[in-house]
Order: sequence, then structure tokens, then C-alpha cells
Amino acid sequence: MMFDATRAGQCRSQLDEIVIDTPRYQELVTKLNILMAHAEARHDEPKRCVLLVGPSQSGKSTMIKSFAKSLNTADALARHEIPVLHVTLMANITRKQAMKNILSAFEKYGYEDVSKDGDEAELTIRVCKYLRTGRIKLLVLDEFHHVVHSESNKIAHSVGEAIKWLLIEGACPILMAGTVEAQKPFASNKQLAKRAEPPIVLAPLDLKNPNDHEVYLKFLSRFVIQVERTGWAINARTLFMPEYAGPIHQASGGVLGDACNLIKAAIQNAAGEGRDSVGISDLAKANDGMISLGLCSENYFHKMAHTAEA
Amino acid sequence: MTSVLPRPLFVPVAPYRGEQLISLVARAAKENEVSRLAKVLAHAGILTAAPGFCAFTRQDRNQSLAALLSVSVDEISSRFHSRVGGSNQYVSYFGVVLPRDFIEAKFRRVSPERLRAAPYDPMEWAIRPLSYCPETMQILIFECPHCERKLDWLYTKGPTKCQRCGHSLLDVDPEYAPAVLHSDLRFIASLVSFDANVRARALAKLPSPFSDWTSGQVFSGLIELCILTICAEVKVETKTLCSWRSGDFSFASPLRLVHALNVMRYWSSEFPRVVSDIAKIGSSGERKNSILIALKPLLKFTRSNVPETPLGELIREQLPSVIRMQGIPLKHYTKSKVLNVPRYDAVTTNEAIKLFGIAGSALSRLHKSSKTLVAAQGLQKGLTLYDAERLSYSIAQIRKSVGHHAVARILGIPACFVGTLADRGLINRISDADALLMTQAKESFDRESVHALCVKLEESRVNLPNAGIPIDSGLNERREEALVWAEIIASVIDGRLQIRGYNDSKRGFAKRALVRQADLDYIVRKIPKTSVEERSVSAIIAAQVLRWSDERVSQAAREGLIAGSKIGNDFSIPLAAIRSFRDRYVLPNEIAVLVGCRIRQVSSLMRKMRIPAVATVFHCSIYSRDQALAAFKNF
Repeated sequence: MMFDATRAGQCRSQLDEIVIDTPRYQELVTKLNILMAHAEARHDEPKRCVLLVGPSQSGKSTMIKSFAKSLNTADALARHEIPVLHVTLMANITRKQAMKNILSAFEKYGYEDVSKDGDEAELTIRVCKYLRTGRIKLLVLDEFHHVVHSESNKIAHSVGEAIKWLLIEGACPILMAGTVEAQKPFASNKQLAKRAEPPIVLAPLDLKNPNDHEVYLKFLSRFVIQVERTGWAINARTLFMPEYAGPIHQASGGVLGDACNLIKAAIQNAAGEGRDSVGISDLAKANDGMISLGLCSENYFHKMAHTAEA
Repeated sequence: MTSVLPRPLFVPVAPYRGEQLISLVARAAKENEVSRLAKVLAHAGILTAAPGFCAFTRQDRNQSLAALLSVSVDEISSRFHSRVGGSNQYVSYFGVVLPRDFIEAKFRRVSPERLRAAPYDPMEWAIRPLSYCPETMQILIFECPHCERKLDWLYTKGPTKCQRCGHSLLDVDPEYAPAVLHSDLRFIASLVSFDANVRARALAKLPSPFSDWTSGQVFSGLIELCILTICAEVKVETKTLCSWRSGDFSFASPLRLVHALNVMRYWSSEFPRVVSDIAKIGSSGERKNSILIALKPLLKFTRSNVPETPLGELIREQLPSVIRMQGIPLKHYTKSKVLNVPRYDAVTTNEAIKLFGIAGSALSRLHKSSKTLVAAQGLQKGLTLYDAERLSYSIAQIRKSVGHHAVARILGIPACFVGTLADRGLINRISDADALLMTQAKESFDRESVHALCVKLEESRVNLPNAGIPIDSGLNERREEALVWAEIIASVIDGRLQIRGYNDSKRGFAKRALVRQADLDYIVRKIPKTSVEERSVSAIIAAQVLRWSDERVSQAAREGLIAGSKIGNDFSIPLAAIRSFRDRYVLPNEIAVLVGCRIRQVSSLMRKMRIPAVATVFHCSIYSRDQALAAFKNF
């Protein structure tokens, strides 16, 4: 049977929409609410920031988008407000580039992109002005580890200084999200660190840790139920069974995002082949995909697949 | 291909009523922390290096600009300055049609006090002739008080700051217009208000014809009157005048504007005063006789190649009469048609020739008469103006007149008798002096009356053979002869004398008509005879008496040296006049006899004797008898 790429794409798209509320998300929301409440009480006084770190695909951007979506209601946008401004920093970031990225983010909300007008000082002042005028409650700088990857340490330090300046100006609190490397600017810039809350770390889940184990299982159960509801995998619940949950955890390295990607890839493969149920062979194939991307070193489903065939 | 509208700027601005477009753009730029206005305009698709001019040139981008600034299209469109009349000369500035030069686009002028109250640039600040703010009455500043650079629209740091150095513009304390002028200055500014009702109310307060003009026309006229009032006070160099009319409004001080407004308000009395003062100022100096110099500031309105404005039309219409009433001498010919024609039906020489088909020589003879000329006083050379109505009448009189000889030909009588017929009332004389001057005739007669007389004489024809009218009737005077002829004709017309027949081989009534000898004798007896003292002789007889040539006698009679009247080609000189001439003057031939020299030596002798000639007639000098005899007494 021919592989139906369209069906596979649609399947993957619907699966990507699934967002699962986890204790980690609740923790993030709590800390952000604290930041925003503090900022609101302080008016024009300096604000604080917080760092959200975690390996890639640990769900940082997903949680941020979910949070932004909950606050950026149609009413707020109609009032010319953007409560949460989500900015994705580009690679090789400089101070000017950082400001441009922030200004470009306003275009998503239907405003003219004025990031190309003016020098660094003007852009910085403009960012501050826009943050105040838009009554932005939270500025999210995603991919913050790109600051570390700037051309020189000096540039990286200056970006950190620019962020610090924004906080001092009291525009709005800032959430910085990135990989573990994103902690380096805080380590090197004590003044920035003093303006930061304790970071939110999304470490890979360790099943030996009872708490992590509970989190993992809860997440997985809710995820597979949501998957079933989409109709692309009517037997998605079977993935919650220990014989599947364990290899999934092993293949994803405890990173929830990777686990979800593994499951999604398997269901996508099944959808492409015209099936509405996912099997062990799909999981094995998905694991092979992760190995080819260097995300995993071993295929934990081949043995199961061979056993099933036998 | 439809253009894509830009997205709005994140920080919107609300336009103020009466705010300039560039001010709106500048505020939007400042609110969005964009320092260069050109960058903001570029988002709307307006690529320009001179943002201040965008209101003139980029009206096609009103929708883009409206979308960018988050205002309605009407708000933007009303702030554009569209061309009026298809040319660049006039623009519609917030509903007021003004010359393009009146609008300042490049630089910025501000009133700090008003900026403090409302941080925007109102439209009045961009009207260059208004050097003050109509609300605060502050004199507008156009330079930064700190860095002294001109305020412009290239950059912005906010409406209250210098766009270059960033210092506040509110710290300065500029001058104010004099308090006594405030109400008039507000009135002047209301003429160019963006509110149509305000403009209409202001116009209604002006006298006619200004109240019928548009507010822009009144304002433009006011500015032009400023120039004229200055020219009425001081002599203004041509270069300065040109620069004022080309966009340099440094002359338009508040005081000057109010002065011009008063001229407008009391136009009927003020305009003649202004013209008179301009002429006086212009007449002083080296070239005092030139009208072009004297009235130079006003002559701009008289040139046909200058576009007409209502003020220009008004001045063009009234200037000639004012010049005449003021008695301003027109000493040099000017090509200005306004000053020549039409000037209350005045025509120049060339125009009279074309209009009436009359010879220039005939017109030039009119110089001797002051009745037909419009302005004769002070005329020296060049310009001659004629009253068209009067001239037309005189020419009509000429065309219906006949001279002595024509009448004589028609009636068949000697020409010298024609005047007597007019004395008897048988024919009418033309009494118009100008007509006589133009034809160089002493007398002219109405053609119609001559023809009517002729018709009556023809009607009385009776075909009977009889004796003709003898020429030698024994009369001593030609005058007596003329009276006889007049009596004959009158009697024939009245029916008291019958023509007995006609000799058809002769021409003219007198030569053909035949009357009875008895009738003729009767008429001759009736005519009073001239006494010896009253007798006149012809020029030939007079020449024989004076021992002079008859041509010189005729010329002397013509020049008035001898009293005599011209009858036809001859002169009738009374004997008393001859006697009088001989008593007063002495001729060279008489001096030659007296002194005993030749006639040709008389003139040099008289020169040596220091005796001047009283007159010269055909190269013959006449001397005073008393003077000559006194000189030669001892000779």
C-alpha cells in the first residue's frame, strides 16, 4: 500500500496541537503570576526576570505558548494590549538584533514592523516604549541560549546588559527560556542574577525518582487519551502500558517532548500507511528516526518488534 | 494592481483639529520612537527626502498613510494640499485657496506658549505671511534658541523639542505682537482658518467688493497691499520688490498687515492716497519725469501678461481714474493698456485713427484745443489722449459738413458769398471748433442744409426766358454783392422773387437763373451801402497801397499783423486796417528810401543799429515805425 503523505501530515498536525497540563506547567504559571503581580504593584519601578531552562524538546516553548494564549485574549488584543509578548531570539544575537527581534514580534499582532528603523539606541528606546504602551505584562525571550552563542563573550555580555536595562527601566518582567547554556549570562552577570527569580528547570524525568515517575506517567496517560480522541490511533492507550512506557522513556531520555515526538512519529507512520492503530513496528521506526537525528543511541523497540513477529 | 495597505504603527496618535499633516506624522514618529520622519513615511510607501513636502505631492498615498497612522482617510485627505486650477501656483490649504508660496513646507515655526498648551503644529503656523500665532499672539520662532539651527521636519524629538539638539523649545520667551493690534490680527488669521464658518464670518465684515471674494483672495490681496503700503512710505528697490513678490514675506509684520487691512476696509479713500503717495515717492529722485518709475509698484497690476487676481482687477479698473483725479501727470508714453485704454472712453492717437478712420494730421491739429483731450495739462510729448465721445461727435460733424467752395459749386455762386448765405440763415454753419480745427477750415456748412436749399431753389424753377443776373451790378464791395445774392436766394425761397428762367448751358443756380432786371434793381437798392470808412479792399489793392507784394500782405493778414477776413481765397482788408498797419510798422523799402541805401542793406543796418524786427513775413522783416524813426532821427 502506498504511503499517504497527506494523511500523515494531517495526522501530525493534529497531534502537535495537543497540550497537556503538567505540574511543571503549573509551577511555571505560578512563578510567572508572581512576577507579573510584583510588576503590577511596582508600576515604573525596576522589574524582575526568571529563567526557564530545559533540554530541547522539553516543552518550554509549548508551555510558554499555552500561557501566552491564555492571557492574550481577543478582548485584550482589541484593547491594544499584548499581555504576553513571545519573542524568539535569532542565532548569533547582538544587542541590536535582540531589540529588532522584540520589535518584529509585534508584527504577529498586526502592527507595522519598525524594527529596521533607527540605530541601536533608538531601537532600545522604542522597545521600552512599546512594552509600556502595549501594557505588556510579560516579555518572553525564547531561545535565550543564542545569547551565549554570540560571536564573542563581549557581545553576549552586552545583550545581558540590554536585558538588565529593560528591567531597570521597569518596562515589564521578562521570562527567558532556553537550554542549560542560557544560565551562563546569569552566572557571569551578577547584577542580572540579582534581578532574577530562581530558575525553572525542566530536567529530564528520572523514573527512579518517584515524583518524576508520577509526573511521567500522568503526562503519558493524559497524552495518549488526547491522542485517542483525535482518532488517529484508536489503541493509543496501549502505549501507556509498562511494556511500552518504559522503552518510550528510555528512547526519549526522560524528556517529555521527545517522548511525545516518538509517539507522534509512530502514529504518523501508521496514518501514512492507512492504519488507525499504532503498532510496535511504528514505534521501532520512530525510534530509528530519533537515532538518525542523534537524539537517541539505541532502538528500544526492535527487540519487541522481532518478538512480536516471531 | 492594488497596493497593499501598511499595518498600523503600534502607538497610534489622534489628530488635532486644524493640525498640519506633517505635524501628525511627526507626532506619530515620536510616539513610535522613530527619529526620522522619512522612515515613517516610507512605511506608507512615500519615499521622500523632504518629508515637509509630502502634503503637496503624495495625495495618492492618503489611504496608506491613514492605515499607518490609524486615522480615518478623511482626516488625512483634508490635510493634503491639492492643486487648484491645474497649475502649481495655487493650492487648497485646509479649504482655503492660497498661492503655493504662502505655505511653508521645509521649515517649522512655533509658538512656545501654544506648544506648552497643546503639543502640535496648527495649520496657521505654516502660512508664511503670518509671522504670529493667532491664539497666543506670540511672534513665531523658527530657530532653536539653544543651537540656533532652523527647525525643520527631517527629524523629530517631539513637538516641544529641537529636532537637532533635543533642547526644549518652551524655554524661550519670544516677543508678542502689540496688544492694540490683537483683534485685527485675529481677524486676519480668521480669513485663513480651517473652519469655513469662521472664514465666512470674517468675509462678511469686509466692505464690498472684498466681501464677495473668497477668503484666500482677500488674504492674498492683503499681502499685496502690504507691499503697496510700504511703497507708499519709502522707496523700495526693484530687487527687493521682486523678492517680496517671490516668497520673501519679511515685510509682513503684524503692524503692516493691520495697515493693509485698514486700506482694505476704507478702500475708497485709502487707495487714492496710496497711489498718490507711491507717485510722490516714485517721482522723487533723478528720473522724476518717468511714470514707469513713479508708479512702478502699481504697474504690476496693469500688465496683461500677469495673471489676474481680484485685487489686480480692482486696481486695474480704478487706477486710471485715480491717476486722473489725483492729477498725476502722464509725462511719458507708457505701453500699459490700462493707463491708456479704456480710461473712461479715452483713446490714444493710434486707436483714434483706427477707430474713426481719421488722419493723424487731423488729430494733431486738435492739440490746439483742450476740449477734446482728456489730460492736456502737463502734456509735453508722447502720450495724447482724446475723449472718445467728444472726438466721435467732432468727426461726425466733419463728415456732414461742406466748405465754401463746395457750397459755391452746388449753388453756382462765388465762394466768397457763401458766408453771407449762412448769415441770412439760408444754410447752417458747423459750429464745432474741434471739427474746424481738424479740417483747418474757418467755416464749414451743414451739407444737409445746403442740399435742402438747393432743392428749394430747384423747385422754384419756372421756364421763362428773360435777362440773367448781371455780375457787374455797380456794387463797390464784394460784401455788397454777397448780400445781393443772399437776398436773391432768400427772396426766391420765400416766394417773393420769381425766377424767370434758366440758362441750361450754364452750371449752378446763379449762372443759370434768370430774374427780371427790375427785381434785381430793387434788391440792389435795398442793400445798405458800405461807407468809405468801412470799406474793405482785397489783398492786391492793399499791396498796392502799402507798396508791398500781395503774397506778403495776405500772409500778414493770415498772421494777424493786418486785420482782415478771409473770404474764399482772398482777403478782405479794411482800409482802416491798412492805415493802422502803416502807422505802426515800417517796411524795408521805406527804410531804404529814408536812409538812402539799398533794400538788401537794410537788415544789416538795422542789426548794427540794434533795432530788432517786430515780425518777419516771407523773409521780409518789419520794424516798429516809432523805433526806426527815433533811431534814424540823427542819421
